[in-house]
Amino acid sequence: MLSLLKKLILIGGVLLVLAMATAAGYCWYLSGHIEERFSGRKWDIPSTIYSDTAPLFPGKQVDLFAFEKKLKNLEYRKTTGRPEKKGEYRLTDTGVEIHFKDLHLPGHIREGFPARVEIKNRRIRDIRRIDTGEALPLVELEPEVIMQFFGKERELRRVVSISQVPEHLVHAVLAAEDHRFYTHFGVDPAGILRAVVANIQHGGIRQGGSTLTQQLAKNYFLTPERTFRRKLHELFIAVTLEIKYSKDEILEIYLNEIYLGQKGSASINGVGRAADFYFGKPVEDLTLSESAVIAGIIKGPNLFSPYTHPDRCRDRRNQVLTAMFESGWITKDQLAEATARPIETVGFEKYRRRAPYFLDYVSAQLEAFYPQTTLSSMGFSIYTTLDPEVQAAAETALTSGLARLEADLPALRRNDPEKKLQGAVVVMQPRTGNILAMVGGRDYATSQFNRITQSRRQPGSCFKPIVTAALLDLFKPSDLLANRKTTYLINGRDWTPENFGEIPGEAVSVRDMLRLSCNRAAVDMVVRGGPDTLVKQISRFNFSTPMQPYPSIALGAFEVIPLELARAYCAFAADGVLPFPLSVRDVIDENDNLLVRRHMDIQAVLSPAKAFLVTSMLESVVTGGTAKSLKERGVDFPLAGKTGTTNDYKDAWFVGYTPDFLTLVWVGFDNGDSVFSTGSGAALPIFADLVNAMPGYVSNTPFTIPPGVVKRRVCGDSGELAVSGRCPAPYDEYFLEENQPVVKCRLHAGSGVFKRIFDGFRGLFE
Amino acid sequence: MDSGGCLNNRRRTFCRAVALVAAMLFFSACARVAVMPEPEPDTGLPAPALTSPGDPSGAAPDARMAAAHSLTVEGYRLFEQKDYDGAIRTLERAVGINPADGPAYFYLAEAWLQKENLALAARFNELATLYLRNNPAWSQQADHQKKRIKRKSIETGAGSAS
Repeated sequence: MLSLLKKLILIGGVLLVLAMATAAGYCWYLSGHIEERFSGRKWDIPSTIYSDTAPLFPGKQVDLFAFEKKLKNLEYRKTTGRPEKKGEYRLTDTGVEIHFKDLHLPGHIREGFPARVEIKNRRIRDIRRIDTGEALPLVELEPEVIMQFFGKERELRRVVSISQVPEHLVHAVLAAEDHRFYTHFGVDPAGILRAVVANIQHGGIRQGGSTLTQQLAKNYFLTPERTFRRKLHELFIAVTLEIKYSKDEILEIYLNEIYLGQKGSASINGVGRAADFYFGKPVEDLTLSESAVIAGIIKGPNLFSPYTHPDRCRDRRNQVLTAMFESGWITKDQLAEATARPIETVGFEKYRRRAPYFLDYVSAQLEAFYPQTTLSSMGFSIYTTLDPEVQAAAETALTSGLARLEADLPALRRNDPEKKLQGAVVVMQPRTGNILAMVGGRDYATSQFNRITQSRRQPGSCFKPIVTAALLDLFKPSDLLANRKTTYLINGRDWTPENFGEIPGEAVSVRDMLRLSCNRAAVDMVVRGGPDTLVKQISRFNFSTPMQPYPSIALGAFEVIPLELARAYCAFAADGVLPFPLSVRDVIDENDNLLVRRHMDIQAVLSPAKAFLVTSMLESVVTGGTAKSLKERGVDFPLAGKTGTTNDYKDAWFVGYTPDFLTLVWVGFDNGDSVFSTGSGAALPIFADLVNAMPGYVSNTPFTIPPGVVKRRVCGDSGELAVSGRCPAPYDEYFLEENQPVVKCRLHAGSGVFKRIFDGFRGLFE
Repeated sequence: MDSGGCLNNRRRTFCRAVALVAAMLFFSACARVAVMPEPEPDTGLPAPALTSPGDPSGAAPDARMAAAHSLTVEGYRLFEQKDYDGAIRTLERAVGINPADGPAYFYLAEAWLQKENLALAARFNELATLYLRNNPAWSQQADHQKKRIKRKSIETGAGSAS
């Protein structure tokens, strides 16, 4: 009997040793896996695309409603009292009081501060620091998050080190989840026993016995299935973690890993991101009450979210605070003070695809540097030139403009979403080339084809200013061009250009050719100027699409990419300087190392004087030409622009600009169907709606006359220098200093009083 | 005979000229009154508020210019600290707000010169020259800058800067 017992003990001992050896071996095996996971990047952090900052300065036009929306987009909190904390604002009788947040840009950090922004008559009157009384000429609002490059996980996380985490948050988490964390070895038998008792008492699972280490093992290494095998696996991993890593290391990983809520389709992971998501602040700045909220959320992020269940959240927070008091981590006074505090969340906007065409354009450029997997895992910050307000205005103007056209013209309606009337808009800063907004189509969900960067369309009359600019050495603005019906022989075939509408007179000046968009005169100009010379000159504008030396080039017969057309017009707005279109500015990594930096790049393609002449002529288009309806639509500031319509009304265009912004609008069908409307009828109203919604860019700055431009009075009939008192329709015209009229009007030079009397009599009998 | 004929010709020419002037005076009295246009003055832009490079106290005449000016001053400060990329970024923001900010172009040219991109330096110098033309002190600086860019392009053999 004794020997049997001995045998059993021996067998048991051997089995125990074997089990321990197996367990040790398994732990050793696991440690390799754990080390492999922890040695590299622990998490995939999506890269973030930001908009540009928004400058605020006295004199800038602002719409208070839009301004408040901007603050909300930036997750500023509205308060009733004076904004004491960063990220708070309140509306006052005279404007807005804002406690600006810290501004972190590549190579530039600005501490947040309180300021008073006075607004009067939709214009910023004064910006002044509340704390020092200092008047500020300029303040920049932080860039907005436009997009996250998610991988398959769609997790939002801001990794923080344990040294950044305030002690009260650590204690709150421990009080809520595992108050014996610093004393157990990864598994807490007492905790398990307590959970078992509690669950038996309540007749169901009410309490878990998992330690933080076990939770980490489960979340980081295992699937969420509930099986005995998985639980055993979890225990082994927890013990292995405790052997290999210090308590602080485990806690740091836990605090960064833990799931803490949901922002639309993306999950909020880690306390760093949660602090921002719920309270709009870095984790270091969390108060005791806020820390207890976050710790309380761990138990059930959707059940105890302050956004969806504020009452439950408050109760849970108070439970955590009480547990902290019971563990001796806070005093009774702290408990009383923290439980009395209301939970003030920052609010958030769910992710929606903003500026999708622009982001595709940005992504295409980034992917030249980095593959998609890098962008979805390395946590880069990508700063762009986008102005979200202008983008929103462009999207709204296009959507409503196309809907209006369809309502007015039933022939434009299509049932198939893919065949619907389309449109595209791009807004640029002509001087810097910054792309402020880009709408590549009517509905991104239906069609991702970017009609600003990928389509090739005939520009129609929008090409006439390019032609004019290229021929300004040969033609003067007052030179007369033939407006007669003329047939040209092109490649053995007859071609007779026609005007879109009735334009009276046998001849029109170069200025009127642009103002009235006279096709016959434009072709005459090209034929007289020489198509070969013209194409050579136009090559300076860097169109990537081919141009042939045919007279029809005058009418925009050769396709262009809309973005390239917009860029060419930038040269007119910016003293002859062609900018490189910029969308990405800076890319930095998680440690603020600069990876990519793109600067403004320019190329002079015209003299400032020539650019001014074209602009001056295009101002006539707006003041008395094909775009004069702009004034009725509320656009009454100095502006130059050109309408464009192609054969059979396949394309309708408008390009308008000031020294501060340039906007191109295109309307048409992808399959080339007619839009039954001109640039003036279809594209111009969209332009007007857009610029009326972007007051911040309207400075009323007129175009200024550069050196090399002279003004002369010329005869309207001959285009030559007016003879005082004799030419019947003299007017002032701008000229290049080196190409100005020198001959006095030969039509009227000899027309003395007798001739005029004779002409008058003759007129009576004709 | 010859000299007499010549005299007659001269007298005839003189008489014709007198008659022409008289006729012109007569007809001009009948003509509509018209004022000959004055030659267009070079209105240009208002002189930049900065009176000397980097003068942080220069008060700008208009708020937009003042805002841009504050960035130009900041750009100048970064330039002085040899943070040329930071200076360029800040100055680009200045010209985004005020496209006629001459000093900003001047410092952009200067920063690109330091970064030895002489082609860009030359292009920004052209804009600086354009916008600073009404300020003799600045104009001189821009002119001097142009020469330095040219000299450097000759030294480095980058003849493209002009």
